[in-house]
This record gives sequence, C-alpha cells and structure tokens, in this order.
Amino acid sequence: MKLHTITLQSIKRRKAKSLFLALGIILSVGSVVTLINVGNNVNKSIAEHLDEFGANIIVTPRTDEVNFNYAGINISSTSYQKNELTTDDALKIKKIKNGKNISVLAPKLLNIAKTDKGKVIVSGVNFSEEKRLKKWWKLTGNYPISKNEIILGNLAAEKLNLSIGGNIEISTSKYKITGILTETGSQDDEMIFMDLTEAGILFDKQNKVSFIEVAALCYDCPIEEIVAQTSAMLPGAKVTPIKQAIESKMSAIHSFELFALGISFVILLISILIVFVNVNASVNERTKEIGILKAIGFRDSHILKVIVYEVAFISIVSGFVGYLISMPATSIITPFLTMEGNSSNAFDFIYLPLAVGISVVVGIIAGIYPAIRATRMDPTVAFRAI
Amino acid sequence: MIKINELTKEYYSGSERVLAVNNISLEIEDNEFLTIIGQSGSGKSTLLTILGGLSKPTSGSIIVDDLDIYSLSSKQLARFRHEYIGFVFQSFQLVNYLTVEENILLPLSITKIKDKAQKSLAEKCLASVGLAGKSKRLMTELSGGEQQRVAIARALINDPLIILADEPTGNLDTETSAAIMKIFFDLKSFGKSIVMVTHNKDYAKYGDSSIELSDGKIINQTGYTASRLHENKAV
Ligand SMILES: Nc1ncnc2c1ncn2[C@@H]1O[C@H](COP(=O)(O)OP(=O)(O)OP(=O)(O)O)[C@@H](O)[C@H]1O
Ligand SMILES: [Mg+2]
Repeated sequence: MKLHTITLQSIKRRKAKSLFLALGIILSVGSVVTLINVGNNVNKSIAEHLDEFGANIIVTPRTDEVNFNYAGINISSTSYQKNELTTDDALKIKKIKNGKNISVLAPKLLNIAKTDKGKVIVSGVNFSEEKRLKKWWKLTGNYPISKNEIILGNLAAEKLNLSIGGNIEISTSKYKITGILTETGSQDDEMIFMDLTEAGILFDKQNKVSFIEVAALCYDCPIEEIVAQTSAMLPGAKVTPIKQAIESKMSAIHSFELFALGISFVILLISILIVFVNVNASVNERTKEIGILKAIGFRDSHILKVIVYEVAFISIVSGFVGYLISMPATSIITPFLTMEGNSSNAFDFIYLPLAVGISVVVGIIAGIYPAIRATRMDPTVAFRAI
Repeated sequence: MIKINELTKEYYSGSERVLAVNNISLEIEDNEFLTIIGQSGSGKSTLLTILGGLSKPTSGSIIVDDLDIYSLSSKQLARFRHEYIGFVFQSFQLVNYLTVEENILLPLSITKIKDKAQKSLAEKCLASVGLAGKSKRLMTELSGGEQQRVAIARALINDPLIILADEPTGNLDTETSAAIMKIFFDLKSFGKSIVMVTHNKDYAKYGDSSIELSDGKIINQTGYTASRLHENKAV
C-alpha cells in the first residue's frame, strides 16, 4: 500500500465522479488541440497556395512620371527611362535576406508592336515563372517551347484573326502560335506573350525589363520587410506591395488564428472552472476521510499528494484521450477550411505532449486550491458521530 | 506516561465562549486503561482530540514521555500521531472505497515498508480482531461490528503505545459491543495505554481508572486510590 494506491482506488471505485471530471477535461482539451491543429493546417495550406493569389509585390523603374499603370497600359516604345530595370536586377531579388520567401519572380518586357495585322502589346515573359504566377491561366494548345513560338490572349487572337498553328509577323520576325488563353478578364486577354530574351532581341532592349512581378510567400513574414529589403537591393527601382491582395489574405489568416486563440482561451477557462468545482466538491465530500488521514499521521504534504495525484492522473489520461479524439476531428474539419480536398489522417504526435500538457496545467490550476484547502481542514470532524 | 497539565480548550460559537475543556489536570500511566464518562457536550471528545495531537489546547500542555507535544511543529506532530497514537471512532470512519486490507494499511501507506511485509502485518492484525479471511471485502459488505474491528486493526497496525477510543461501541448493539470491549481489554496485555470514552457506565467500571466530566471539568475520579494495581478483569 502506497499513497498512489489511495489515488487509484479512489478513481476506480468512484467511477462516475472520475468519469465526469475526465469528460470535462477531454472535451476541452480535445477541442483546443483540434482548433490549434486545424489552425496550423489552414496556415500551412494558405502558405502552400499563397502564390495562387498572384503577385503581391511589383517592382517598377523609378520614373519621373507619377504613374506606371499596368492596368491601363500605355507604353511608348520610344520612351526610355533613365533607371531601367535589367534581368540582373530580377535575379538580385532572390538574394535578399528573406529570399527564401520569394516564390515567383516574373520579369516582363512590354512593348507595342506593329504586326502585319495591326498594333498589339507584346509581353516578353519567362514562361515557367509566368505559369506559376498566374495559376488561373487556362490555355488551349501548348506553351511555347522554342524562341519563335508565342501564345496570345483570346481578344488579341480575335482582333488579329489568329488561331493555333497560325503564324504572325512582328517587326521582321515570324512567330508560330502554339496556344490561346481562355478569357481571364484582365489585360492579358489583349496581349501576345513571347519569350523574354527573344522580346529583348526583337525590340532591341536586350537584358532590359519593364517591371517585375513578385509573389512572396508571406504568411509568417512581414511583407513590408521584403519590400524594404528589395528596395535596398535595387536602389533604382520602386517596389510597391499590392496592399489589398496581401492584407486581406493575411488578415483572414490572422483573424482565424485570433478567433481560435480566443475560443481556446474561453474553453480552457470553462474547463478549469468545471474541474475546480468538481475537485472542490470532492474535497468537501471527503472532509471526514481527510480528517482520518490526519489522525492517522498523514502530514499536509501527504494530504496534498492524495488530492493532487488524483487530479493529475485523471488529467494525464484525459489529455491522452483528448489527443486521440482531436486527431480524427482535425481530419474531418480541415478539408472544409483549406483548399486541400482531403487531409492526411496520420496522427501527428507533436500534439500529444501539447494535449497532455494542457490538461495537466488545467488540472493543476483547478486542483491546487481545493488540495491546499484539504490540508487546512479540521481533523476533529472525524470525532463527530454520523 | 501521559501528563495533562491545566488543560483548557475554548470554542467560540458566534460571540459565545464555550469552555469545552476547563482546566483539567491528570496523569495516565503506561499500560493504564482509563475510561471517560460524562453527558453529551461535557468535553469528552474534545479532551481526546487534544490528547491525540489533533487539536491545540487554548492553554495547558500534554506531556507524553517527557515530550510536550504541542511544542512540536505540525510535521513533527503528525509524526507523533503516526507513531504513538491509534484512534478508534464511534462511527468507525473507514474509507469506503478501500478494501478491509487497504483500510488497515492506510497508516503504512506513508512509510517505506514493503508491500509483502505490509500484507503479513495486515493479516496478523486482522486475525487479532477476529476478521481473518475478510481482507478483500469492501466496507459495504461488512456489519457494524466488523467495521469497528477493521477500525481497531487500523489503529493497531503501527503498534502505537496509546489507543484513543471515542465511544467505540456507541453505534453497536449490546452483544457486538461486548465483543468489541473484549478486544480492548485484551489490548492491555500488549502493553498499550487505552483511553476510552463511553456512555455505558458498566463498561466504564472495567477500566483501571475512570473520570467523569461535566462542563469540561472532572467531577468524579475513581481508581486513583492507593492501589492502582490492576486486578484481572474478565468480560
Ligand atoms: N469545533 C467546535 N466549535 C465550537 N464548539 C465546539 C466544537 N467542538 C466542540 N464544541 C463544543 O464543545 C463542547 C464539548 O464538545 P464535545 O464534542 O467534546 O462533547 P462530548 O462530551 O464529546 O459530547 P458527546 O457525548 O455528545 O460526543 C460542546 O458544548 C460543543 O458544542
Ligand atoms: Mg463526543
């Protein structure tokens, strides 16, 4: 017979009470761990898909003209700014401190070209980057694989009366059309896209770049810093964050995190109250038992242990059960809140110590006062009849 | 030897002062069987709790083997209770979620004694109170008399020098009471000092000495004459 025998027998032979206490902890810990787990999954998913939202930073040459308007583009092929961007500048952006957060780097060279069928905007792009930047692009046909292959927006195709497999003459060179974009609703619909290097040669602007679109994965890094770092790296450039795109996305994530945090806090507070009321009632109920233990020679520390062991044991087991429940719960809830259709069912053991830790903390916070009160109880109650 | 010196215990119920024990002095010899009688509220239980180191007196002292027990720290006092005192109560006060054996072993749960040794001690104690073979029972499966036997066994497991019993037969019928009283008398032969509160004047006579309390004072004292030699009393 040891002190913990009292704990185990008390739990075992007073099952209803123990079960009620355990249930209070299991439900709260289970929900909190599920919330945290789902929150992390949502963040991860958003981080993984952040580049689907397109560019969130635009790097343009610093000009004297106030606006370099991408949407209502009006670029004169003869106007040269003094601070032109180059392809080297684009590469430099990768080298900023937060370079690992740069997901897509899409430099562009825009020009108005006279074709055999009329004027059109030609955008020299890096197709592999462009494809990753504009995940919403839907192409009929194929992306170009050689320098004299191009694709065009649906409106451009209409205007120029071109179709896949057709040819177009720009300046003096001939290009083959390999694909046509389905309508995007953006100015891309009216453009021709060709290889960046080829565009440089064609328009005699080798290594020059009109602007650079950047997609930074920034769910855990401040976009302002990336902007500042890029500005420092490219003193001749103007680096503009696309505020709405970033901030609405970021604030969506953060408000979910805040919501989860707030709810968790309330849940834990409620469960601390439940455990407190339960343990306190149990201590009251055991007044005589505690009196006897004192009469027998138990010290205050022994009494404290009898109460605390019981709460701690139930907390640990409840934490474990709460963890077991939270894992399938997370698997069920996560798909509703993320872009993944399914989510892995694997039990993430990182959350086990978290679950057990939370429930032990709840148990100790709620149980310590009743336990201390037990040590202060009057032992002479054992002498009262009944 | 237990020396009770000018012991007083006062309680306040509201603003009213109650002198539960009022200036009592008394000596209890080693291996003496002292009985205490008195009307309800006369201070019998209060005196017992003070003797057992559970309740600090308002004034006066208890000296056990030259040890002033209320000069001890609460930790040392707990140890004193553990080593010197065995309590038996009117309403048994057993822990109902523990078995007979576990109840008896409660005092040993805070010692380093090994489980095996504990079990054989429990068996011995159970046999000495006539409960051999019932170690796995729960309290709900025992009669009142059996429960009081368990309580006595629990009081004996530590081999204390002093047994303090507060109306141990108060909840039992006459026949069962007689059997329990026999156990107490037998304890004397093991060298224990016994202090027993009882309502039954017949049982009181069986002690080596007896005191009667009223309003916290000793109003009658027997057996404190020249011959405190104990005759053999059978039940
Ligand atoms: N904790 C307490 N607070 C206030 N008064 C108390 C307390 N304990 C005992 N008393 C009072 O002290 C007096 C003596 O009580 P005690 O329990 O010692 O009597 P008793 O002789 O054991 O009575 P009974 O035969 O009914 O058990 C009573 O008047 C009682 O009301
Ligand atoms: Mg009493």
